[in-house]
Amino acid sequence: MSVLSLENITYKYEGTAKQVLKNISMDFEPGKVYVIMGKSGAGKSTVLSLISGLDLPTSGNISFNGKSLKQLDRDDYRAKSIGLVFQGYNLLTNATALENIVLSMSISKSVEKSKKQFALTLLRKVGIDEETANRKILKLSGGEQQRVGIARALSHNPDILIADEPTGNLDGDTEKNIMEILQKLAHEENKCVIVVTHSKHVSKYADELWGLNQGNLVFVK
Amino acid sequence: MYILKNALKNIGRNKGRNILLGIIIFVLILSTTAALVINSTTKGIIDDYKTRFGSKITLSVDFDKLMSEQKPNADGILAFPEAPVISSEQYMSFAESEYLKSYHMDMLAGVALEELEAVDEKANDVMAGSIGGSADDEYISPEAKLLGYSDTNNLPDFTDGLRKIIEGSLFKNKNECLISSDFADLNGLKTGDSFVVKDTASKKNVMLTVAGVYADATKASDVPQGSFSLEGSYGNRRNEILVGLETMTANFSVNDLSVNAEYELKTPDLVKDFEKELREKGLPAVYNVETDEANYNKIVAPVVGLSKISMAFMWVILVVGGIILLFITSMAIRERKYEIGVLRAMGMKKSKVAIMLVIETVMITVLCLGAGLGIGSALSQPIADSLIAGQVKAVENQPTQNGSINGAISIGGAGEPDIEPLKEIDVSLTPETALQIMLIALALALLSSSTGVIFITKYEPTKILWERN
Repeated sequence: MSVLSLENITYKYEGTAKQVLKNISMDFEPGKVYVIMGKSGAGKSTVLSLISGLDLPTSGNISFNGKSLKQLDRDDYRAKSIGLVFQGYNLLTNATALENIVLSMSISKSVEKSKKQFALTLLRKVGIDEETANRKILKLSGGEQQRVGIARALSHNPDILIADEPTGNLDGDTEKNIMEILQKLAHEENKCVIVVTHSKHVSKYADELWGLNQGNLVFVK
Repeated sequence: MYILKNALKNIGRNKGRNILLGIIIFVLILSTTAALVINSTTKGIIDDYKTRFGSKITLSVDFDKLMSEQKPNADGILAFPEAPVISSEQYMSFAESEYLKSYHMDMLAGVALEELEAVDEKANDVMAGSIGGSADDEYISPEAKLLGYSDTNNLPDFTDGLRKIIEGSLFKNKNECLISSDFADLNGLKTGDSFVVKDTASKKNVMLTVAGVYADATKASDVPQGSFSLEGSYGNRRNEILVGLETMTANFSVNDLSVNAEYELKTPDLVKDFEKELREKGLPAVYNVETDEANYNKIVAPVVGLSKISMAFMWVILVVGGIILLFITSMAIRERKYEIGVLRAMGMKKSKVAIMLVIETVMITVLCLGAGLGIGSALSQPIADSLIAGQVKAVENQPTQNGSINGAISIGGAGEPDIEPLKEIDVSLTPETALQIMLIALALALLSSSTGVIFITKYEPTKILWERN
């Protein structure tokens, strides 16, 4: 049973004729790690923007649990149903790691009684201790920031975790560590993890590997 | 609630930017407070004086108009024209106007004392007691003043404490009077006694009854400035016999009386309506219906100047400050683009991001408002003192108008008093002014957060984050 479906998606930037995505279709199921690989400019980030509801396709339909994103409140969808992990982390740099998680929980209207305790639990889960949690984001290393990013993405217990080049700025050991966390989330917590990357190292963590080339999506393995 | 918490935290997270923003807003509120406090005080003073001076109406003969109607007599000589007389009935009918809040009418008649002695009567010996002619035409010089007042609650000198009733009471009925203790002692008069005075014009006797005796601390010759005075007992204030207006109108012809009528309108803007009514009631065209505009202008000129300066200052500060504020906030929002993109990517709605930005600015403004109101109102007094000193100097350096108002005199009224312009004012922060400042502060907060709100509505999170990446 797919949690997210792409049906005949095409995408063109406003004012241009070139199709960045050409009639792509794909189903995503819970408990799996999906890796979409492609070179720079292949349309990877566009796919992520569309499935995270940051943008809408030129044609075709994206549905979450059977409901079209066009009909859903996309702010609400982003706040409650999906977790986003970015290559550039996209954290509030002048806030602490803990504050980032708590704010994300507040936005998604989390019902946790103690948001702070829950946030610390999440951070511990991704390898961030309490002392580090209370440091400002700018004082954290790239690997630590990405762990905070993952913790934040998990803070509202989303069905889907979407990661855009999550290890792009990290060294080999940290990349391994981050990917293991994501894999664990899929296999142990039944999350649907979608990773977009150009790194071949990441592809080995995929349950399903897809290739994106000149706007066409192809199943690899 | 989390929006409020996050907004509060953001103030501390972005100290440098918020301190700069706070300084600008503080200076704006400080300047606005000082300007508005001064302006509201001066406005209050101006309105008060406008009501007081603009409401008081006097009827005066326009001598230019009178002279233009001058015609030669049978001998071909130009005779000085006589102004038509306003009858006492007319004066009273004018006083019944619905446009009036109150009226004040004084009537003066010179009287001779038949069987009594006037204080300082010996001085009369050097003056002619009568001027020749037939017995009927004989001129009788007045020995005392009979003064009739419409407003018994505000008798001149009684309200100042210079005169005080020491025996009996105020006159209530026709032909009752108040006399001075000197006059009473000289003639052995006491409350309830009656005496006769003669109208020097009609030579008619009038019987008066003493209702009360007053102690008089005024100078005997200290006649009000501008009043017509004679040497001898007539000019001695101890001989003033005070009666009600009814006594005057019942016993004297208005032609023989010197009348000083002052009407107070409900509001200054009723002058034209009141004049129209007076004309309909027979006020001759040669009479002007006037307010004391000259004195009003003289008194309030520095305050009007101060009021204008304070308002001009406030607008300049607000416009220039507003532009600087917009510039600073548009720069600040560029810095916060990324933060807004992250919040939007996390699912925060545009409206909530906008509310958060507005709350942040409002919080900073509230802090500045507290400090600005306190310091601004404290500074407004020395600023006002300094500004009004400059205005007084400017007014004093202006060339003065020579003489009184051209061609117009007030009937029997006092001359123009020596009126000084206002040289100091006590400024204070009123609740209305505080409310105005709060509204301006709120407008400033909304103005400074408007850049952020516009930015949020214009950009999608993807655009913001992509731009950064």
